[in-house]
Amino acid sequence: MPLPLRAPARGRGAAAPAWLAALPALIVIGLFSAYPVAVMVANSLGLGQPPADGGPTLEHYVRAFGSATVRDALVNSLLIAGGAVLFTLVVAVPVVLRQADDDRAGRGGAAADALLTLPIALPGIIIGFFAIVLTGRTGLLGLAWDGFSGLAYTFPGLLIAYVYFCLPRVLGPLRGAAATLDPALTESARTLGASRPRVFCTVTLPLLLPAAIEAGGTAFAVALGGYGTVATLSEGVRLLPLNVANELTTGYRLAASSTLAVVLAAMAVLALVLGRVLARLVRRAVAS
Amino acid sequence: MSRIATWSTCVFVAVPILATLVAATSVDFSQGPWGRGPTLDWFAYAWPPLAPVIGRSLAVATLVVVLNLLIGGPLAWWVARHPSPLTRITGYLVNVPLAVPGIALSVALVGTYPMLRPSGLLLVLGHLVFTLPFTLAALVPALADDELRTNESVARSLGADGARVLRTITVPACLVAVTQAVTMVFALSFGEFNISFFINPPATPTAPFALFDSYSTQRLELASAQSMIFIAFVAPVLTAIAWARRRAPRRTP
Repeated sequence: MPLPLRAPARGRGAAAPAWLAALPALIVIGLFSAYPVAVMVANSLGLGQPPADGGPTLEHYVRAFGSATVRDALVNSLLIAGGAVLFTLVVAVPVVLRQADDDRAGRGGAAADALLTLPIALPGIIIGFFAIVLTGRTGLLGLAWDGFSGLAYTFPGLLIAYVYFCLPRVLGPLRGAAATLDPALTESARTLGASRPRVFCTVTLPLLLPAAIEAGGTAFAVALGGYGTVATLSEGVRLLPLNVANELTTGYRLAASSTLAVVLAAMAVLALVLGRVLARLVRRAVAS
Repeated sequence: MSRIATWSTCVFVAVPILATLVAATSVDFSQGPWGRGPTLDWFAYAWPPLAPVIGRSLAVATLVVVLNLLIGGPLAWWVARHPSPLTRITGYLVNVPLAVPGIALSVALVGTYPMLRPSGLLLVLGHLVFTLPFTLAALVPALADDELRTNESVARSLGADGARVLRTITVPACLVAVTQAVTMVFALSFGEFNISFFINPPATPTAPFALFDSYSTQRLELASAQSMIFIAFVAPVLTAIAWARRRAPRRTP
């Protein structure tokens, strides 16, 4: 431990200077992240500014869940985010295993690496626009087969757009997990006579599963809150983030918008927590 | 099998970008790829109005990066070097913008500080809280490194003062992590759309809003040209991210 090596601060309190360094950041986070979220929750419960809101109430939630458009958007959001994450995970597992092999062998793959990271720097609106260029009404793929034109505004089209959105967010964390897999395990399983699919199902997959669940939970939360992609394709399937924005853009209904925002945030937090907890449970089950 | 999967994933990522480039260089994209011939006119039309907007986005992203290093650096140092229940709570608090969807945070910010919106201050602060978790994720493991801490205390016991230790030991050792943080924060701020949606000053929008506007009002070819210009600005940053990731030490247990 290098800790005892450090000379004790003389003449000033030992703890005070340390947390003082963190203070500016803590103030910014408190004022512009924690406090606004608390105000948003208060607004959704009718505890906002007195003229607009008169006392604690659950009326905004009752109205939100009573509305058929909100319920439809909610179900669509869950289906799109869940479907996109599942599909992305299925695609990502072989990709990260390949990349881990390449890294171990010291083979290049720098170009593929950069290409697969690219979508993380692209805002959701551009991914929505990609869908329009390829499968919009005058889309490129529509020339090859008529079924592709207008696909961008349908449920499967939106699902593919969200897969594009999720891909780098799943590949990144999963790649780190694949890099830590011990190749000796799969090799000894192979020499003991197990077939390739059997090794994959009984050795590789269980070891990768906790990371996959955790990355899936994170990607699900991000996809659920992703607004740009669906905003660009808004004439098609309606998702919950659109309703959150609409309550503010069409007549400034802060309480209604805050309520839907809280619902959206609660689902995202739930996905994150579930991902972490399930990953821990599976890790424990695999280890024992 | 895994080779095919990797290859087709690369194709899946690359095809939309190439298709957008084709659309941006077609006279009439509705007639097919390079319909009625190839042209660079759309880029010529797209650039003059887009240039000041891109400039504004670059300025916002640069400011957000600087603020991240100024306040996120000391925070990361505190979290890495003084672990306590307090730093653990701070860790959760910093990650709030990762858990709360961007559009929800946008509603929360505009509902709380509407007066800070016109000046653009709210936009910068919104980007700052959104990007801080990424700065911390990159810097905390690097600063907590045992070898670095030993080197620092050796230098200090040999008589180097705090500033000298920071300049000659800490910063060089964290260079890859700092690059990772800077590039990631820059890219996130430059392309940020969700949190910005309600806190972006309406009179002076950032680049993603100019694109979003074009998507609903302009010709597909012109919007494609604008998108390609945007991607061209993100690509070098992305190369730096990929570089930093390859240089980052892999933890092998």
